[in-house]
Amino acid sequence: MGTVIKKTLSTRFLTWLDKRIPAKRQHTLDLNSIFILPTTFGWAFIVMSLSLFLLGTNYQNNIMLLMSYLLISIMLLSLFYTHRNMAKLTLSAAPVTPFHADVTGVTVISIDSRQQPKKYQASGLLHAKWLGATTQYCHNLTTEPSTFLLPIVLIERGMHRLNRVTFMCEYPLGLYKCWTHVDFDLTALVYPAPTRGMANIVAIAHDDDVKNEASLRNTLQGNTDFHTLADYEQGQPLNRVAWKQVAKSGKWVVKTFDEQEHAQHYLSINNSIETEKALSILTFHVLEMDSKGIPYGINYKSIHITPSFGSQHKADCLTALARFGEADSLTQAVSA
Amino acid sequence: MNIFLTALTPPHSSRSVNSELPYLLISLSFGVLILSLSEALLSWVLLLSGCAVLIRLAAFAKHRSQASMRTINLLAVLSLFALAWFGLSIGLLNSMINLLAIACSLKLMLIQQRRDFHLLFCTSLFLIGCGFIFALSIYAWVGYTSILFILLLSLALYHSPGKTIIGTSSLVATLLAKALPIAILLFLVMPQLPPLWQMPTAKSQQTGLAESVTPGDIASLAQSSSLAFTATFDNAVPPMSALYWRAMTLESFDGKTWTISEKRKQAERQLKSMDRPPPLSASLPFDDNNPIAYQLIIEPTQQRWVFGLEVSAPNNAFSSNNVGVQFDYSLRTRLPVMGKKAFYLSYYPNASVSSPLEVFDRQLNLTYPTDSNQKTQAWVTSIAKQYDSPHAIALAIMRYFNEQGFTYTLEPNPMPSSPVDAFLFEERAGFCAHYASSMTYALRVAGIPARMVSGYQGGETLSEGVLQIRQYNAHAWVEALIDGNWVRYDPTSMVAPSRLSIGLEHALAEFGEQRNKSVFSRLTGGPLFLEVQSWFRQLDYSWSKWVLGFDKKNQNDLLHKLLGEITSTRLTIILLSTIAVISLLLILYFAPLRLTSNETKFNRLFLNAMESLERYSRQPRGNKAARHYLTHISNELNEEIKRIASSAITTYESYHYMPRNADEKKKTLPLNKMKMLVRQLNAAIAKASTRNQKRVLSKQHP
Repeated sequence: MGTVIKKTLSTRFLTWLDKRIPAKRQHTLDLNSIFILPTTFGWAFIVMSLSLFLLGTNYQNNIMLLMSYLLISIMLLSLFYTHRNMAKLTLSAAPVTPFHADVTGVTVISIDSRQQPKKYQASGLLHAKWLGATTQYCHNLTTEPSTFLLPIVLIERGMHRLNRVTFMCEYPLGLYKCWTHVDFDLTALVYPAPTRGMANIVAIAHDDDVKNEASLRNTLQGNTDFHTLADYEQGQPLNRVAWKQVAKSGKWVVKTFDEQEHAQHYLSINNSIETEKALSILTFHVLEMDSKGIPYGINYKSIHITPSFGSQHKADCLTALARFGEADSLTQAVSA
Repeated sequence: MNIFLTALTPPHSSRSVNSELPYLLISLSFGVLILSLSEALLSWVLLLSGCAVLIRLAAFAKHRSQASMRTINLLAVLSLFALAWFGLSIGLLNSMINLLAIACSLKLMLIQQRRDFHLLFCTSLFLIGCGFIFALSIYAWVGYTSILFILLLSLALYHSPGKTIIGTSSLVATLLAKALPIAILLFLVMPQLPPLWQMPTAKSQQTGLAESVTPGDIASLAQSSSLAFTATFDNAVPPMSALYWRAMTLESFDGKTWTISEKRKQAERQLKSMDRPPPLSASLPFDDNNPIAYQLIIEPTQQRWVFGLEVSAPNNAFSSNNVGVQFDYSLRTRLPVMGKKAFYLSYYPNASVSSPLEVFDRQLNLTYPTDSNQKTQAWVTSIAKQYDSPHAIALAIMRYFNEQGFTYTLEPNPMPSSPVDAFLFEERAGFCAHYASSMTYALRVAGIPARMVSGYQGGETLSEGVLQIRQYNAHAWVEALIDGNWVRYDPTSMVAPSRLSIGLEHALAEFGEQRNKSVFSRLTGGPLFLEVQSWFRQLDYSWSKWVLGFDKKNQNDLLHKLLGEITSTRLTIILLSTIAVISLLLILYFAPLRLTSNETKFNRLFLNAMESLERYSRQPRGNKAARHYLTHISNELNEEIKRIASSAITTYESYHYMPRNADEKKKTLPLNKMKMLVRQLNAAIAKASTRNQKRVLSKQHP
């Protein structure tokens, strides 16, 4: 019962937030998007001021009263200080680079204080966390550069719609906390985590003769023997450059492999293997093939990608693997 | 992976000098606070606090870890036991302050979390409040405000690490400067409430008069020149001879010491419970002899005495602390005097102190211990035989003081047994209390009810209508009940008349004595010193009157002056306008000011000039350099325009492109020259275009 109420409340809250602070790549914080309330310490400060007022009244002591009024005024002013500091910020997020499920992704958030003279720039500690999460990350607006890396911890592959980010700042005295929940309209593509394992790598001859097709059931090391070094020619992939040689001799040379000239490969895997595991193994092989510069394609269930190479091809393959079996709707990110 | 590390680092993990600074500052301000409260603190609490500050400093210097939790807990338990032990003897208020100080010191030794720091800050604020119980002067205000500044600074540094200390202090200073006007406004407008409940008072050593007088006591008061109270008269100050500030009547005598009679206290309580109106309301001729209104600002004595002229009635309408009249005509406040709020009184010069309970008064004031002072008893009996009327007997005693070579001294010899005998017949030298004591005793022996009254006499004029009465003005005199009225006799006047008419210093000088025997007394006599001293006294008085003494009456007067008669609608207006003024102040503080710098103005002027050239020549400038553009359009321009434009361009170029450093640039901005040139250029262009128009017109209509 309690959880149901909690859930409806939180959905209510989120729809309200969507209306109030709509999703945008860049947020310029203003009156609408900033919330402000006293912190616990702020309340304690108010209580302290009031008790000084009582003390002053009871002791008929005007300077005690004056002191309590001074404290109350400080409380009042610091409300504006805190708000103004926060309202100087413009937050924007860069698109998230896809990452594998076994590593921590990162959102690059750039923080821009609109005011130009350094004196008027926002300062203090900016705390950031994903809405609903508990881990806080801290950024010092005074000393650190204006980009801020917010880790994304996602463990599931696929395309995720990222949650809102809560930014909180207590500058200057910690009496108030000023916060906002912004939605950067970000999606994160999480590739499957690569797992070592056996896959079917089918080599196809370069010519169209299908009969020459030879099934090479090999482990990854076996099929791609290093052959020779050749001079680098314009347009060849950089990952085949033998950098050690370049560093030694200054002459650009390229590694050539046995098969690469005459074979393209299809990666596939036995359908009986559990889907997630299969995707992970395929991911591993995609990375392997790419690092060796061998053209490859994928044949797995509904994924059919013709062999090719290059970083765009790799991204296509990994995206296909990541989004396998996914309906069009995006899954809401759960970040911890 | 390095980037993640920076993102994941918690804020206060790096212990640099800068991150220790808030702790250092808060311990510093705590140390100063404790020193300022040292009067109220037990010595071991002082020691503990000092240790806490030292531990903090050591941690700062050597990056050493803090004391362990166990040590702190042990210390806390020990301190609580010790405080429980001592607490009874130092009173509730001081115990509370000691407790706060202990808690603060222990917290200071072990600051682990944000919460600890915040707790320390709040407790320090409360300690500042406690400091104001003991110190009310303007210096205390300045001092404690500076402590508040340092506290806020440490708080700000704590919450924005990495900011420079100068930047943070200027932030805090502006914050305080901005808060002060709002605080003052609130202070002026917020209602002045009466005390809500009685607070514990400090049990420190008393200053001022005591409830018992042993001759010689008042002499020790004479060493003190601290202020007792200030009286401000609306009109003229009464003559010096009338300035007898009554504090209390001492009616019980045990042969050595005069005290307030227990019977009197009991009677007062009984009469109060019977709701009998105090004597003044009945006996004062209210219609007659217009009373002299005055107000008293009494230095906090934590006692309930009010020093009224004889006879004074309280005017309680404005006092926040009600004053009541007792049946012996002494005035007492409802609550102990803790602050410096004014008491409003009316002085009736012609009223006499009648005895409302004559039988009781007689009975109380005729008793004396018969077993000592035998010589005096014999002497008085002989005098009483010679004269009929009580007044004549009193005068005879006074005459005895005058004629028998009595002297006035602050350092009489001790008179341990039969002090009256010793004083009257052997020593013949004493202070006012000796004279008053002996005379009261003598009158009682003669069968005339008499009592000793202690209080102050005289006062120094600070400014027009303002009298300051200091501790050395303490005095004692005699009242005798004659024909239903208490008549004042001051035997001291027979010996040292200048004591009453001029002052103590003068009276002592006549007898070759000095009040203050320190080496500094010579220094303090110089005219410069006196002037500075008087200036400080004036400052202190103004502070007492306008800040400490600001009360309901002042507030009403102020609002009355501003708004006229105070009605409920007016009060609403006051409330609303206060809010409006505060909002205005806030707008003033926080509205984004778009001040353009002089340099932008300079540039804009130049660009305007170029635009008007464009308009005149009808040739777009595009992205040509100014100089280049001028040569390009030079055919269209007359010599005057060309000359002015050229010099404007030269000014602009020399400012922007001559190599100089930034400081020099700021100084040499030729804004006024540019202004002048642009004005000339516009005028020249206007002149030229009208000429052109005329030419065009003349062509059209030859």
